[in-house]
Amino acid sequence: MSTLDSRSLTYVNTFGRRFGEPGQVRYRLVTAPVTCQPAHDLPFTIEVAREEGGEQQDVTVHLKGDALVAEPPQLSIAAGDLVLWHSLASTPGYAVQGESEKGQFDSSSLTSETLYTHAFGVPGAYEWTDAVNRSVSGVVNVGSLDSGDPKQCREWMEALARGTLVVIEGDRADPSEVSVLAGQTVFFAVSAAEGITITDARLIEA
Amino acid sequence: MPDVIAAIDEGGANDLVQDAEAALGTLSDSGSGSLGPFTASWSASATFSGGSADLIAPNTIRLADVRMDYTVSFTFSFDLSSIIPDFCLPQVCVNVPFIGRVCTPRICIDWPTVTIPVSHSSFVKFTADFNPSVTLVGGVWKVDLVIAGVPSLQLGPAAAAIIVAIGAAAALVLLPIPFIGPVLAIAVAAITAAIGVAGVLGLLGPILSPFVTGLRFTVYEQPQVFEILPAAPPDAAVNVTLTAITAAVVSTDEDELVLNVDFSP
Repeated sequence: MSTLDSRSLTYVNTFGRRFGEPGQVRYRLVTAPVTCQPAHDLPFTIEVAREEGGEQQDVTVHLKGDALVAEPPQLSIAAGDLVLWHSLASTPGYAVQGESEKGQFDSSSLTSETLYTHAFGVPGAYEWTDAVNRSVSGVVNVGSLDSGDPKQCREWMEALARGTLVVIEGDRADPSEVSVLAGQTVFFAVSAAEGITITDARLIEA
Repeated sequence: MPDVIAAIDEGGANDLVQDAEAALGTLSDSGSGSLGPFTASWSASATFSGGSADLIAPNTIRLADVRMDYTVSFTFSFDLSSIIPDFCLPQVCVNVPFIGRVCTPRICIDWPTVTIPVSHSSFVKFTADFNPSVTLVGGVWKVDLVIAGVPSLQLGPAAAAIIVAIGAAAALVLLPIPFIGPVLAIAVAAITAAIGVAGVLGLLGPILSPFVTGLRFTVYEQPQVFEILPAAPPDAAVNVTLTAITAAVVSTDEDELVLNVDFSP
């Protein structure tokens, strides 16, 4: 079963967002992208300083008891830094929802300067689209190889460290079709969008 | 001197055995056992056919080349992490034009528990000695041929075939597992190596041997009391009681299976 769906982040995904404006950002981690929740239920914070950065800051999501927690729960970053959320293998699918004085953000609705990565584990052709409006779409062809062939296997292992970038601007994905090997990661970087998802079309039809 | 003596030669014994094999039908059993380092649940069935009788005085009926056709199905489940090494996707970095250099973390794969089903049908031939056994149970006399001793079943070729089948079944089960690709061949090899021919024999032998070691062909069956109708009226029907039956292989001018029967009116 395909897990290509930016609305539910798992350990083979990351969600990233660049925070360009100084101020405090508060966010929560939810197992279902519910938008109507009390504002005080935003237990994690990101303090964005005035000085300019441009670095990557990682946040690990994991399950503690029956609650999703972020590590570190409070993060201080420079303006322009990218925060990248990722999870441990045992973590259920989740979404990141937050707000600041400048507005709200939600990993299940990708907007400008956000990023979703997916490591493709099973060979096949993956037609992805925006689950809400189908405003943008593309194809990821995931190939396999003979793992019994040492030469192919070595090449595969090397390929795993290479990422493939798809830039989404409005209703356009560039490139709209990419080919990778199973195990490789595709970076879907949103430069401009109103709020889209990267979702396997089969999951929507189902 | 017995009241009745019935004797059959080897040709007749062959006919009796073939009929008894057919009457025995399909034997089946199920259970669980060790398949190398794994535990497997299994079910098996067997039928018997063929074989040629050699009567050996005083008490042995040797059946040569009896054919046992069998089907054995088993499934075994195990945590894939116990058989293949941890596999981690390396850190992957790309340059995103409007963000800069972004790197994903190293992702280590959590291998699932898998269940592998395997089925194998084949046959094996064996030669075994049988002894006649006469019993009176529930008012019925039975003459059975009961296996004496445990013949060796040549299951090596079957075990080798099952190992190949396990490899094929494992590949089918493992193939859809995300990220298995780079280690698929390793995983299949590790599973078959962990089980090994010895592991299959260790399971197959205890499954199939009981079908043979408990083998009992009923070659003659007769109620102890039965009615004999008169040849013509006005005589009445009479009940005859078989008071004793013995069976033995006797060597005279040729070897014969002889039943001695005593009865009383």
